Amino acid sequence: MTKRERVTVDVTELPTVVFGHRALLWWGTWGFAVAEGMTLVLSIATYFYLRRNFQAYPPQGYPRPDWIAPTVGMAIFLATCIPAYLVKKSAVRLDRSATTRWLVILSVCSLVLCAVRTVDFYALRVLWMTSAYGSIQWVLLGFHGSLLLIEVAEVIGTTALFVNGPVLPRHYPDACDIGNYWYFLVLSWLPIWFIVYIGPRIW
Amino acid sequence: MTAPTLVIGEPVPVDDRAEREQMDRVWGSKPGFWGWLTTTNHKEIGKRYITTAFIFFLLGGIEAAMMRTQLSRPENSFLGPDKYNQIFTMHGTTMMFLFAVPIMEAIGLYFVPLMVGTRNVAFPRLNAFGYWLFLIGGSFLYVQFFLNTGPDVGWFSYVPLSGPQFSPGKRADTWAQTITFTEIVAIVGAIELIVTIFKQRAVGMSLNRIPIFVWAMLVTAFMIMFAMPAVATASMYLALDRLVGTHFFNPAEGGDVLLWQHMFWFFGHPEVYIIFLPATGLVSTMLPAFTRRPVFGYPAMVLALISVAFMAFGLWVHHMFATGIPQLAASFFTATSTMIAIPSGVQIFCWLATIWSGRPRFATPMLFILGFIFLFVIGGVTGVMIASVPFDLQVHDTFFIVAHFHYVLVGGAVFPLFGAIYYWFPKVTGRMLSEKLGKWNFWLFLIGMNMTFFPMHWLGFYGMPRRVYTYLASTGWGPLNLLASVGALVIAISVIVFLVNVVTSLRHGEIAGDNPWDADTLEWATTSPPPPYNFLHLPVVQGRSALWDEGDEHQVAVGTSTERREVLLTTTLDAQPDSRESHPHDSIWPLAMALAIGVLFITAIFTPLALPIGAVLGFIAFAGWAWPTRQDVESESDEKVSLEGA
Amino acid sequence: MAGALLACAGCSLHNTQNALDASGPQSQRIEGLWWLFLPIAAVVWVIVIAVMLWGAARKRSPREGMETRGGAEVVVRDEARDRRMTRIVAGGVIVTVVILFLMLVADFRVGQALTMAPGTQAVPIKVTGHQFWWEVQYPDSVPNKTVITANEIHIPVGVPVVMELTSLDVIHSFWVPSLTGKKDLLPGYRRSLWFRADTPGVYRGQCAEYCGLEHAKMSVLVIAQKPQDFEAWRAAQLDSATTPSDSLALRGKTVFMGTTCVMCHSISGTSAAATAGPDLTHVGSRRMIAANTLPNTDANLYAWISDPQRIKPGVLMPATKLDPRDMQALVAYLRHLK
Repeated sequence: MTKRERVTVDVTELPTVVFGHRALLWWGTWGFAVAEGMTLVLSIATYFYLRRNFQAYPPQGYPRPDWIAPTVGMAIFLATCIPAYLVKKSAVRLDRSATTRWLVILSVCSLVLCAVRTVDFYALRVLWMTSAYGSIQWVLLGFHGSLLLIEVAEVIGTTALFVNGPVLPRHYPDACDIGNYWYFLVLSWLPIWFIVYIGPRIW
Repeated sequence: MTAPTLVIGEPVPVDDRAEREQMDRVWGSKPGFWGWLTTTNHKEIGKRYITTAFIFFLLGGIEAAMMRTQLSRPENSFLGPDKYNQIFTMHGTTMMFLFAVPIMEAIGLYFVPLMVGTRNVAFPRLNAFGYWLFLIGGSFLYVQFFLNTGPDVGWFSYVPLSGPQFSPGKRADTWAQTITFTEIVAIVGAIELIVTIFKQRAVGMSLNRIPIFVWAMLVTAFMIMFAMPAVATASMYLALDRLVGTHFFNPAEGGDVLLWQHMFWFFGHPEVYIIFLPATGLVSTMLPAFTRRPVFGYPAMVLALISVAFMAFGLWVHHMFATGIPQLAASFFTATSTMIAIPSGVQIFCWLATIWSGRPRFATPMLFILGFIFLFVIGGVTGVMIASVPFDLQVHDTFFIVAHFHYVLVGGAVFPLFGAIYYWFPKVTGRMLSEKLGKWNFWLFLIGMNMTFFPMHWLGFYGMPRRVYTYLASTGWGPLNLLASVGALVIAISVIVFLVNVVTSLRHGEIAGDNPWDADTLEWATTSPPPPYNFLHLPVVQGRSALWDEGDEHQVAVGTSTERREVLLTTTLDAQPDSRESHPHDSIWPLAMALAIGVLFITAIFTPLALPIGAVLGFIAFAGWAWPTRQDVESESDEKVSLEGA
Repeated sequence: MAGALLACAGCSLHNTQNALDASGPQSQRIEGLWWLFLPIAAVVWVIVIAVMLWGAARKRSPREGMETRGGAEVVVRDEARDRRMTRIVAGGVIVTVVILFLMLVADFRVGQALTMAPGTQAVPIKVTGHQFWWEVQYPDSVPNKTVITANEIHIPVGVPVVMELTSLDVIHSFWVPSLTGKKDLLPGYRRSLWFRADTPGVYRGQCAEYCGLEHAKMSVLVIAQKPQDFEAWRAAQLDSATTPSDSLALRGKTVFMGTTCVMCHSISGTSAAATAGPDLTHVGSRRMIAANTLPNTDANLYAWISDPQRIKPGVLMPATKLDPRDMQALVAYLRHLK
């Protein structure tokens, strides 16, 4: 380096832990959400593309999916946004005990949602190998279900950290990101629930 | 000896040895094999990525040589149909999934942090994970190939040929899982690039000042985020049809063979721009150094990149013109496929204006740029031709198409890539490549390219379809095929010249210094090769051509920690200082996670037990990755938390 | 340049599988597009390369000086020159748009012409793709007047033909470059393609969608004949197979009916009615065998039936091991089936 160097900016006073879009992990979380969301969008497009191959939908002889249990399940999904919101609110206050409390509740919620998802599969009333109709219904549930499972692992892991482990300042914005991803999970389920369970009654 | 304190307004002391030692301690990788396994340094990982991707290029080239040998004579017996079909599938799959996209991303992962003036990519461990997963996925494909279970249904694996009924065995499953691996790797790389570019730019590098190469990588990363899920979804449907009896592609049960094509090409068309746009970024990076002026028309260049990225998603049906889609739909895709020539044209005209008004220097990278324009325009004009439905109905699935896409991919992406290697080899290794061998490399490659692929335009018209392991002598295709095969030999020689150049220059190349080309971007403001921390003091940028616009004095920002790894985050649009974020230490967990996921994907094609096993392994790796270590607790005990913007 | 030489070299080689030697209106219109596009492409390329090379090599005037900025030798910034270049680049973009638009117009006009259904009565033909042969039917409103054959399609010159295309296994593509652009044969779909041959001749085509091991050897012959010859051929195809009078061929028939042949092939007029493989009722009259891989000679038939895998490894026909005299008889019988 032959040029003279001169200091013109001093960042010593800048914070080292920040929230929201100021932090890197916020972007990473939404990045994965976008890629996964795109996959769900494509599966929804597949649903409508394959619909064209059928006169009746579900095809003749196959039962319509049950809609009551999954709608109750959808309501439960929506309700779990409340503990997610409260996790975020506590984390922003850097309140370890409140955050821990709501994370524990969120963990329980995540297991409840696994049970809901199992019921959702039964409510389909068809198997994946009964025609392309069954295949796409199962994949819509299954793909979203895999996102749910990954989120369960993340929530439980984070809860374990908050209950037991060395919580560092940066784990508070991380907990907020868990809340954000939770919203994505629930909101992305809404159109799928509608298409899978209500749809066959409409089109 | 402690490092001297740096004060705002003051010049930086010249003796920085103590400071450098301290930064080496903080940012350097651990020594030995363990250090090699645990490093999270983007340059180490970038070099591995580039080398691995280049090895796949060589393997793909060997496959090409075998194909050309078989086709050099009618009814040749060098390769039977089964071997040939595996080899052309491996050639396409290797080149598209294991070479072209990874190498462009890898170059981005190495050079974008340097060009934007930061110390590492945004998620260093995720980056390491991406590389290991790439290595595992690519190796998986080749191990299967050597075990005679390599895929044989073409790189685009059309159903029903690749479905359970017509491709028994594990060959097509191997293909589908390789896609799953490479898709995740690509998305990981894309997230790294987007977040690094948005949040970690040097102070003063507002969005309208980022180098065109960085724009190209940003735009490409967005394309990857939206395109890769399509091929992943398609390959998931295929794997499900094959392994558990779903009916996505089974017409007898309401499935649809065209569903595959739509889904694949919705990915497939953006895929070629994912390969091409970084190459245009490479050209825009190198041209200033070799014409002694910034690229002409920065706003037009940036808008061209963005519009190509959007338009690329609206072309895919032009791969399906022969399937009998309705005329109105086909016309729409003809129009969009033709329109995309406009932003590409804008880029070419801006480069021509740069060359015209600049003072060209004809070093090897510049030769590759000129060769790129020579070849890409040929591929571009044939591209506009095949946008026409009637025209395409003659040449689709013939060697005319093979000619077209090799001109745009080899000419349009590989030539800039070779130029970039000659350009950046000095920065990465500290030594120059030989100019003499470089010129031989270039001319042999250019001549070989044309000898191999130009005759193929005619072969297409004369009726030679693609993916044929042989042809009858009575077709008369022999002489042109022989010419093409000789051309392939010339290309092979040029690549050998290149390899000789690399190997000898690593030992005996001229020492490069910081900025041998007198270029304008920030990577040239540090040593060759750069230290683990990239810049001793983070640069502050004054203009688009960072080093040319800053005058006689290099401004720097100080204040990030020298006791632990820290990067400076700036605001997204204006690159004003916003926060300091601590970066993780080296870790073995990315490798562990890659192994867990590798086990999951590979065993999934053999047994459903893979899912619970993989889930458990993955969870363990995730726990190891995320749980704070003692080192973390020590170095992150004293944080300044800001709740602003929460 | 080299391209033109290559083109000429090719032209004379074979006008039976050549998109640049069109023998029907479909191919002719497309060929016309090529001869329009090629000069436009060549001129564009020449201009771009000329500008590039001239721009790179031209002598710089003293006015285009260098200065030092940031410690580097760079070209002096010149606002006026940059404004001029902006106008030129903009002009280039406009010219590009105009050229592209003209190409689009030409393309749409040809597209219109090609997809308009033929006005006059067209000959309907059904083609079904199989791995690795073409099932061909000439449907008729009277069912027993439907001709069933394979791999060799006869059509009358000057009369349009409408093909209905589908597949029973994987995707194939019907392509006879001298006559028409291609159309895919998709399982689960029925597609149609119309074309016309204006010159009598034997036109060769190949499957143009990778369909497995022997995609390379799945060819089709389209034989365009004078309308009266076509009708004669069609009438002959409707005849059932006769019992041969020659003893060798008669013995061959017994061999045929007694071996695995009947499991896949049909011969009308006999009890062989399987449809897994090509119909053999008139196999003796075809020019080639094995989906147009080998000329239809006794020696080739012998070799093919004994071991198809040697000629087309991966084809779905198994080897038939017969005593040489039985094989000769079989070949004689097939030769009889004209």
